[in-house]
Amino acid sequence: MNGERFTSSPHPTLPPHLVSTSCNARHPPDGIGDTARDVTDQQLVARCLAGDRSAERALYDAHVDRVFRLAFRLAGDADLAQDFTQETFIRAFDRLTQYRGDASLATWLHTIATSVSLNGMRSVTRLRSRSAPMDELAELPSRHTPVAPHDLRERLHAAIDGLSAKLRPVFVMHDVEGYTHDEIGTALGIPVGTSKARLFDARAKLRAALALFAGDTIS
Amino acid sequence: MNDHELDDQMRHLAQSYNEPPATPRDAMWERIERARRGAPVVAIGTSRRWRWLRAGAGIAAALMLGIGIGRLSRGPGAATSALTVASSAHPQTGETAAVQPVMVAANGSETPNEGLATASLASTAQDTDATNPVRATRAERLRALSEQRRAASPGLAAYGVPRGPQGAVGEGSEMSAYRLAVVDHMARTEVLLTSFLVESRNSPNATRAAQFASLSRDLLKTTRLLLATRSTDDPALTRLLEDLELVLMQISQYTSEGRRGDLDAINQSLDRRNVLPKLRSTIPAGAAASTGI
Repeated sequence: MNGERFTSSPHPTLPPHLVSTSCNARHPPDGIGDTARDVTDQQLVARCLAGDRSAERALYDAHVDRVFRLAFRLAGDADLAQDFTQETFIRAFDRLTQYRGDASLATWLHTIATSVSLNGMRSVTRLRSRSAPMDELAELPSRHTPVAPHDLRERLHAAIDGLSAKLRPVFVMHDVEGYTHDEIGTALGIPVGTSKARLFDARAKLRAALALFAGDTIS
Repeated sequence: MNDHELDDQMRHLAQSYNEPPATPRDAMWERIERARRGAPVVAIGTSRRWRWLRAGAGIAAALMLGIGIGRLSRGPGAATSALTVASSAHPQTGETAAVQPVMVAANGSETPNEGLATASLASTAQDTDATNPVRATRAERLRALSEQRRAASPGLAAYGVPRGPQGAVGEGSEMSAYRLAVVDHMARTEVLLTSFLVESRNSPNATRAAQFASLSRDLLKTTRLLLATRSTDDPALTRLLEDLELVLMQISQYTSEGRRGDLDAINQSLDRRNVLPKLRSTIPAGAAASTGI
């Protein structure tokens, strides 16, 4: 599957297009030296637990980009993504004593990030559904507004938005952000097989949504 | 276009789905630091519960300390002590140290309206009589006044004012602590019962019912503690505490989803036993304010 696409990546958990934003490629802005950047997860966690604030910042710098990217992909809103990212790191620092090193720190963080983002989105969706009647009145289609986007890209984005709460995170994490099924399984708390099945379903639904349109446009 | 080609096309186009902007690292880090530095948020319900628990623990501690001091300082021939409600400042004379015994009447014939009534013990003054002639005179005056009042209204049943077999007015710091604990406890219980009656007339609220149940349990513990540690045999006080025990137990088991009959039973207990009027006549004026309610 797609996990094999990333075997050439210097970072074992990141796809090539994300490696440039990973911890090893970035100098932390507060002047942390190479030694700090090269420390292992365990050492970084140990230093954080000892109250080393520069280590906390180093941990944050190492992972914030990917956490923020995932949060934004799931939320589609800058403010929400920032809230979810902040909440993720606040929780992570609070629960750092619970990190046992069984999985990589990145996996552990992304599990928290996924949980925070999906729960947050659930609340946001609930709130939006309460105010939906007014919004819908304001956005009733008129003769001048197109019923569906004519651009394949927009059509696809709308179709991804329309995926169920179970399928969308898997599709976004795998096909958009390049997570492996192992990582998705850990982050969402589902078996790898379930992750693969959901991706299969998501792609099938998207294909169905785009098939006619794509046939007309692309050919 | 076959499925594979469409999948590839989809993956390519999906890269622009909710495309994230540059990460606002520093802004988020500032907020994270601020949030982590901030005081932890404590739920209101928890805070209130702990406040009551602390108050209960404080009462219990004061009670135990008072009993301990009393046991240590009590002479072998000391008379059984009794409590009194005394004013600490007389409005006319301005005597701040004056101890003015006022028996709280059950039938309302006498009320503690002579100055600011606070719980005190005449024997506190009596203990120092030997060394202070002014106080000795005052103590004699107190005893005389007390005897005079008792003779004038022999039928007085002083709720919350345990009286010794000889009718002696408050002797011993043990009773002072006991008296303070009783007054404080009854003030709190009166607030709880009044609030409960008001709330129960409104629409049932599960949160409120749970809070009342929790507070009632705390007060129930103190009631039982007072019943168990009372050192004088005052049937009126014992009866009142037993009534309180029953009512508090009913409230502690009451839930908003419960049967309507539960609420009726509580109201009946309060009405038939005349609990609130008895409580109010027992609590000296200003005692509720002094307990911080």
